[in-house]
Amino acid sequence: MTFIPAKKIQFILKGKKTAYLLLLPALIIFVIFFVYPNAHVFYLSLFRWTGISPQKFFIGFENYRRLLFKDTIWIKAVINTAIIAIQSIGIQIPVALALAIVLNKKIRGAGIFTSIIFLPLLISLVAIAMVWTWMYDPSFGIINKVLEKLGLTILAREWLGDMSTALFSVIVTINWIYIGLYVVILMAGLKSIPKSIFDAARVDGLSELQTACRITIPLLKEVIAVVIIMCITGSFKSFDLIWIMTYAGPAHATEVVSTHLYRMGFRRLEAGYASAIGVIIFFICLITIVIQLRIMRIKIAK
Amino acid sequence: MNVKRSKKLKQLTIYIFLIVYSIIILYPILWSASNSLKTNREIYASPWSLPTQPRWQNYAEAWSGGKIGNCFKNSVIVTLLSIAIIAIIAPMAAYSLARLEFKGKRLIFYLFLGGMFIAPIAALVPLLILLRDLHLVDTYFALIFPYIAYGLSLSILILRSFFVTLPRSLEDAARVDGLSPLKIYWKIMLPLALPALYTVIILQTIFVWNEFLFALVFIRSLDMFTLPRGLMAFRGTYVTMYGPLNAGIIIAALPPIILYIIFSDRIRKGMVIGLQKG
Repeated sequence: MTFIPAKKIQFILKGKKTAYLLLLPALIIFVIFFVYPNAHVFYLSLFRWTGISPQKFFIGFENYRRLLFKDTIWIKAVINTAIIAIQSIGIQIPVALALAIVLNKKIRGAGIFTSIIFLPLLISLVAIAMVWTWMYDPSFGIINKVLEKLGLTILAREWLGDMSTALFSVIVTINWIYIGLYVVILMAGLKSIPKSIFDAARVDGLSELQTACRITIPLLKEVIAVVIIMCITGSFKSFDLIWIMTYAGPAHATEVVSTHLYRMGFRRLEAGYASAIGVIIFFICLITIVIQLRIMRIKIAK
Repeated sequence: MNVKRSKKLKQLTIYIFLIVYSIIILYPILWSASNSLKTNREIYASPWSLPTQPRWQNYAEAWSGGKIGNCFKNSVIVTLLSIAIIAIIAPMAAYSLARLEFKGKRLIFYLFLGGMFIAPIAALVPLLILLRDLHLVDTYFALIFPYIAYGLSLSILILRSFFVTLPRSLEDAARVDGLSPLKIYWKIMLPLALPALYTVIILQTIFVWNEFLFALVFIRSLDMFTLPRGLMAFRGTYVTMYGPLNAGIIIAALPPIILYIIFSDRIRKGMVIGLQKG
């Protein structure tokens, strides 16, 4: 039996009290303004409700049935969100990987280039959306002007107003913003690979591309997996940009899950229905956390 | 010799690639800065050129006529209050979760982590209803409380992982000296955690400064708008007055960019963790 001095016991008890005391302010705010609303959304999703009137009508899972079978705009929003996610994986990650590999080579000015590439992540999405809307403007936007200079006048058009190009145009802006983030993440991953491995590859006469495919990418597997998940969750964050650039139009051409939720909840006053969309977003985010924590092998949680 | 030349060629290709990419990133930002000093006629007639005579009035027009000045004030108030509270309560909670032993610690930590990954839009409807029931809609606190709640996760994560790395012998020595656990936190551990706390403060400042969705839904009246919401309203009223509109954009974008110039490394490292959230 070990002898614990009374003083130490007293300290442990005090420590426990201190622990709760220090935790309490953060926990209270977090529970009220994060945990409670995220739980309440499940309850609200079972009602038909304007969000204003005192009367709520309990309708069970009717809102979910409507999402699955009756709401064609919702289906369009899901498809567009998926397109944004998939193209992010297909375009942003390869470009970011190429930039990260190049910037990792200790070339002169690498620091400045990295800083520039990351710059869009600092600026308000509203500001970015406004500037890009003007870049796409048919009368003074730079994009049509460049096409004219290149003799491609035939391609010039009202990019955001045209149903066939609106989503593509928004995606270009999304890629312009987020590639920088993935460059920095992948660079952090590259730094953890010992230099000797790359030296060995050079001695063996592997080309740049062979080194990337056979060595760099396999070694970065976990980081790339995390980045892929970020591309998926990132597609739910596109609200600011899309709402400012196109109001999810024209004719729902750029509708995504988040804009649909906003329109239903706050324009159409269908708070119950919007909550059902919220629940679905909640679950998708939850699934991605579980996968991400698996990949990182719960490194952060000890 | 041949090898040397091919190496030079490779270097050149790399630089061209990097320079072209940097131009693509910088162009829209510099275009906006240049347009912020032009008249509409100049913008239409010569979109490529720099302003012949910088029109600083555009900034004055945005600041007072476009109410960007007032939005700037609101953004400063909301940001300062949110960050001040986060800077006090997040390290407290992080220390508690990192070092002290108590029941439910793991569960609470996971709960906090959730705030990083669940997209804020998921609970947008119930959050508005809650703020309405608390009579907070259209006040600064309609933004401050949600910003704190959603900002705590990342802040606690960063601070906790810092506290975990500090040697336990520090606390043991202090305990022998008869310091209470609260004093150990306040006098010894918190000062040591200042570098991590600065990272948290800078990051949250940028997030809060740029936040748009909550500002769109929880604030109704024009004189309470923060900058991102104010810019949207400004575009609504000034439709095609591109000079002042671009001036407003530059005013909104400048503070985070200045922070970035000073603290670029810290911001990049923190954002890598921070932007992994949904």
